[in-house]
Amino acid sequence: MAYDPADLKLPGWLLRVLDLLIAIRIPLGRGWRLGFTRPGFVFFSALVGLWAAALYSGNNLLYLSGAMITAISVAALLQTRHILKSFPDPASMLPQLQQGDVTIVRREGELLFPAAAVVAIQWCYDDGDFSLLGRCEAGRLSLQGRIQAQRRGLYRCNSLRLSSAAPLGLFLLELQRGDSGEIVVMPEPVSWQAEGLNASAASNELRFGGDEWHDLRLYTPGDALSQVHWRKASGELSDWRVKRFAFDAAQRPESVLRVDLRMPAHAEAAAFERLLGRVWFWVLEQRGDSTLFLGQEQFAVTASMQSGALQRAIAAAVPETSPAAGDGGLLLAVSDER
Amino acid sequence: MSADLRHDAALLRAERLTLAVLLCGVAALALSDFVSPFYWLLSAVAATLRLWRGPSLHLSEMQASIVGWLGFGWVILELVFGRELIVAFTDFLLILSFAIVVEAATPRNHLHRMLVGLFLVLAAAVLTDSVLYVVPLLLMMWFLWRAAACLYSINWPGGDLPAVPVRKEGGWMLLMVAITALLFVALPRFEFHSLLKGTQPRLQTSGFSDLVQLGDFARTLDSRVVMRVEPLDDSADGIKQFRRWAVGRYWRGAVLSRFTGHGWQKVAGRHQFQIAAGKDLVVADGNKLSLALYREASDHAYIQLPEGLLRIKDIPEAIHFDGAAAAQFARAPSRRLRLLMDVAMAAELKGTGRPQHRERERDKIPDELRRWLQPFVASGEAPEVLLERIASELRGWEYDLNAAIDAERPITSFLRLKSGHCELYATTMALAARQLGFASRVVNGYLGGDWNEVGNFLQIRALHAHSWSEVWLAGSWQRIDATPSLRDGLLDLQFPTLDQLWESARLGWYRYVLEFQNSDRLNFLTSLWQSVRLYSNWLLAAALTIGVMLLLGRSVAQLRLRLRRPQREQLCSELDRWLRRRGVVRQPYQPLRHADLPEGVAPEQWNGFVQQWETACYGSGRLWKKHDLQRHLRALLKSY
Repeated sequence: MAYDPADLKLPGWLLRVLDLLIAIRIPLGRGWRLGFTRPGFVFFSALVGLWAAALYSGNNLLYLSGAMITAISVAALLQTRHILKSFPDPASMLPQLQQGDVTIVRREGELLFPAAAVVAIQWCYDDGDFSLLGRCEAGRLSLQGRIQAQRRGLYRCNSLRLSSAAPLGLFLLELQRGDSGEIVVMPEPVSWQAEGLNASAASNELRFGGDEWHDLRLYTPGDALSQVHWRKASGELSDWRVKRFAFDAAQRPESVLRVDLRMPAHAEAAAFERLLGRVWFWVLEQRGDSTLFLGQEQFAVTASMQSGALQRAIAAAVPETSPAAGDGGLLLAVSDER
Repeated sequence: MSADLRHDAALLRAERLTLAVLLCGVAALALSDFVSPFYWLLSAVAATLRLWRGPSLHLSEMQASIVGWLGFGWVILELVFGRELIVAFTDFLLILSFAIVVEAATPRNHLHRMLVGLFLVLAAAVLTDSVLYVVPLLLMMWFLWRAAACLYSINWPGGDLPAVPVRKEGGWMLLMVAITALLFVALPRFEFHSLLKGTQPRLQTSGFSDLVQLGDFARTLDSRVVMRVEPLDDSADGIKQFRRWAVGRYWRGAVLSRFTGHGWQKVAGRHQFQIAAGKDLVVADGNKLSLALYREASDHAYIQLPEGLLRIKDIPEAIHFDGAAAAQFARAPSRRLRLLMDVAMAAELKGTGRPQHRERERDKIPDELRRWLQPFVASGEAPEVLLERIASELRGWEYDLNAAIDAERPITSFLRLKSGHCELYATTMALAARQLGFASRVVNGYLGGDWNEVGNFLQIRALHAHSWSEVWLAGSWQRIDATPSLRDGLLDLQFPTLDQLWESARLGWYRYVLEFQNSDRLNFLTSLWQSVRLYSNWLLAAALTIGVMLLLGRSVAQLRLRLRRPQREQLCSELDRWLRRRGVVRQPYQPLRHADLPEGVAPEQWNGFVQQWETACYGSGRLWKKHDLQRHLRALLKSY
């Protein structure tokens, strides 16, 4: 915005007072709040002075001037209200985010009306918020900003706070909208190869659930007791091991991944995140028809990727108490992280 | 500084708009009669040059500041040399606006222009009352809106915002005008009579003072309107009745009793009383006709009282009223006033007091007049009859505003020429009455007026000023007007219809804007309602035509939008229509999966459909055609 009382070289204390005043938001009800910009506060003060002069003197031309300036203010507020009320849901325009990465958002959309406005978007979730700018210009909306999500998850929007000083830059109108959109933040993909476990190689070798003994893994509550290697077990639950057998089937086991979402005792949360990172890596690697058992849920990878259901499931995954559903295929579990 | 340079290109786009805001203020102030044309022309010419040559023609901030300070010094000098404070103040404002016009376009300069432009409009609200004030006010509304929007739109991250097309702003402008009118009518008025009341230069009028030299009265008879009178009952009957009442009506102002030999002097009456502001002046009771009189600010304090006056209601400022039926404000008002009066068709407004000693004085009567009267006296007729004969004789003489009257001996000169103006006729008649033994005096006021056919009101101009005599006959003061009737027809306008239109607009401005009061609100709404009823057919037709045109325009716009809108938007509209038919209203920003379950659809089927919809619309699936969507929706209903 190109005009500001600071340009008039006002004394510093006056500007500080102005800054205090423009921080005030006046609740108007139904989620609307009104504030002022610096020039807006000067404008409003002038308007109050003008009305005081008009009411005191009864000079009808001062009434007319006051009514004209008030009409400008009312029209500006109505236009801002119109812009904010019809502002589209920004969540539907946001890209898929990844944990820890800074995502530069530049998305274009359509507006139902022509406007020249910049709307500040504050997308609030449980313990934080994302901030973006929406530029409305000539019937187009462009979302701009940088978003960095520190953790994986399904960020459900508690409230969407939109604010704009358009069209005149005098009044700041704020709308808190109870949107129920969500932003999906995926885990950072963990390459299996990076840990010496090439995905394609693993898909040929790791075929659990068959008859041939393969290795031992940590016991996870819910494992069948018949599979516990009792001779290596001690009194400590964390020392228990479970026998794994390689799958020996003729079908394409690499097209099935079963993810066991149970958390072994004393396992760290980071291990669970790494597990999901591996799962996400595996999903991204898939090109054909594949099936993913994420805990108890089953997903046809291609279809559910298209609908976004799989991403939401991975982003929202939490430790479970039941073993992975389904039979055959590759089995990933937190205990593999050791 | 470098930041300023970086933004220069963007700021220059606002140059013309902020200049227009400032010029609106200058134009508003230029309407005031207190403003010297030289000073407002200075700003106007500088702005024109700047618009023509572009912003390259500018002074630096420092140079413009020096111009401002020099202007301040110049105005101080003006004051020292006796210029009126209010005129010097407007001079300073206009020099300041000149300095801002020629200053370089910077953010500060844009702010200066808008603030000063606004201040000039507000100053003009106090210093002018012209109907033309509405023009710069409306233009300022538009330019202020556009200029502020333009300044808002620049210097954003990602570049400047493009301006909204002018045609898209027309609706907002209409809305602002409507809100302005609504606020103006609805807000309450409080009368504290402060300095901020509108003020205007007083019209100079001769002959309405307490000491008048013969030849002074109505020295400049021009067509300036000094009073406008309209009936409060604006029905056809009310206007007809008022017009009948107004024809040839005498409006009395100064009542002068003492003849000085060269003129007349007012003598303070025995019965004089003061009436405070807000009170009523009650003269008599009777069947009344209510009227509103708009009195221009004049350099005299007299209120012109019509014959037949019953009452003046809610007097705006304190007045003195005396036994000679003359009313004066405590001091000459510096603004236009509205006086609400009740008058009767027939009643005569006369002085109530008995004649004073001064009204019988004969010592200053010129000898020529005495000699001129001798033939009348010699006839031996009764004095009352003689009075009538003298008046008839005088009415047969010639009315001439430019008669070569000797200023030293005006009556002698008048009797010799048998030609002169009303003041001489009235003086001669009054002195003749005294010579015959009657008390007499001269009244200066107005006679008649011309009827405005456009606005249906009476206009009383400076040239309608008139002088007549009053004689104490049979225990009361009787008016004797000895002036020939050829006095009529002084008005000579080149464009009478245009003049009537202009005067009508001015009266409308005074009535509905300048003099609008709390009591007018109901009248205004009532007359508005009557007008609506009167023109209801036309209004209905106009509303229907506009409605149909708007509907057509909207349909065409929607069609164009639909043709240009992406397919996905069309599918969303189709789906939303289908949802509404099944009791679900979805907000434009609401994802489908959060919408309620439509009536007649199984939850499982609906969840499946939502997944397919999102895949098709937002996922990587093929976007549906309209018939695909319809097929899916039909399937949903069948599955239930």
